[in-house]
Amino acid sequence: MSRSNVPHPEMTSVDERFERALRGETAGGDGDDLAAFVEDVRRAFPVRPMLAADARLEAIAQAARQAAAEGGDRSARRAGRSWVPTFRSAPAKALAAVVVVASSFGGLAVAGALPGGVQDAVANVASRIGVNLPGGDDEAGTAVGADRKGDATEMQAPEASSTEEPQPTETESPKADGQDQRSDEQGDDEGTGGSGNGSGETEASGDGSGDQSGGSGDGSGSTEGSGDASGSTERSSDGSADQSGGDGSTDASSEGSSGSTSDGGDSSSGD
Amino acid sequence: MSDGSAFEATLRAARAGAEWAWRDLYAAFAPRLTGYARACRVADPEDLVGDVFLRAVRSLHRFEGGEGDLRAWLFALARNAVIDERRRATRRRTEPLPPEVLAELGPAVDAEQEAMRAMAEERVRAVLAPLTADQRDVLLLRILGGLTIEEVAAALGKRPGAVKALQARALNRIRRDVSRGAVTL
Repeated sequence: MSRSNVPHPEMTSVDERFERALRGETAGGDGDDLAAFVEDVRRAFPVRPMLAADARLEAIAQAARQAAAEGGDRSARRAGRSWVPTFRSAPAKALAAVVVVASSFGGLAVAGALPGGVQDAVANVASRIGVNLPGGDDEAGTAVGADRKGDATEMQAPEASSTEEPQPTETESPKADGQDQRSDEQGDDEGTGGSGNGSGETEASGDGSGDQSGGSGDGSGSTEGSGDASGSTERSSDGSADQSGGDGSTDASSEGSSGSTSDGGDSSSGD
Repeated sequence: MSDGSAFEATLRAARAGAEWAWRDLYAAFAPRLTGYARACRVADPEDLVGDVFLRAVRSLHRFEGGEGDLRAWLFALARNAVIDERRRATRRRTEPLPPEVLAELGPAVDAEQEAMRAMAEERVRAVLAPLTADQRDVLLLRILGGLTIEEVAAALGKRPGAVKALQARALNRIRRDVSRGAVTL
């Protein structure tokens, strides 16, 4: 037994005297200060008959009848409750709406599949926060689709060599980080900006999608991450692979945060 | 309401919404709850106790336990109601009643008795003033509520050992102050 567990004799005595005073075994007149204190407390706040008890009891009884009537309904509701989360508060509803809209249109916007005017508007807004999205023209959307296809190939053949031609199927090695800058320099030096950049950014998109899928675990988020990185590749005429990779990672992180926000909304609704 | 089986029957009836059961529970617990609320300087202690019972009505389906547990639970509800009341009071400005209205209300009890009570209250408040809020709660729940250490622990959401320590520190502080003459009993 540690020393702190040993009851102090004085403390035990005080506690015992207090207990005796609570039981009414000692009185303040005996010279016991604790007994006098207990008596004073009881005298100061005596147990009195309740005023207007009938009116209050009527309200309590009415509430009890109502609660008893609702008791059956409550258990029935609990039994029939579905798995779908309910959003009770207004902020949770607003957040849920934003998440639903963002997840519905985000993928389309990244893929450039929104109607022309809408796509332009979304791309303009996104560019202000540092996210490059394709414009409303058809080519961008087609190019993004092509790049995404390349990404898919990457995922299926991770051991392909990443050192040679700017073929989408060859550039997706997981160890493409080191190759990124090299292929970019190659593109600049040779003046074959289109194909060289394409390969470098394809690698970057591979990184972006990998990061994102690890961060959010959200299927749609992962698609957006890789699509965005590829899309920025297509739009930049001679942009470096680093920049494209940066776009990819930026997008991935923003998707990740929106995913976590969505989770927060769910949990708050659960509360 | 010391018989366990009678208490069980009352509790079952209260859950079913029987008015007699709530009358019994109110008669058994409301006076002590009111004393506690008064000690906590609540503006209208009886109103607060009415609110406590309304909260109990709404939550009784979640309650499980015996009579001591119910007493601890009701005092926990009362303590929460006191805290809510204090929060509201800090946001709400109160106007004192005009003297003519006070005169109409009249003294609630015998004047001499009320004077003795007021003096005792003054002494008790002086003794309790240096204590922490938790120490005050422990002593009031033990003396006015009639709760055991374990029931106080349940009401305050603390361990019994912590409640014992709070009580011991509070009592030692009171004895020290009394012996120094800082307060009188």
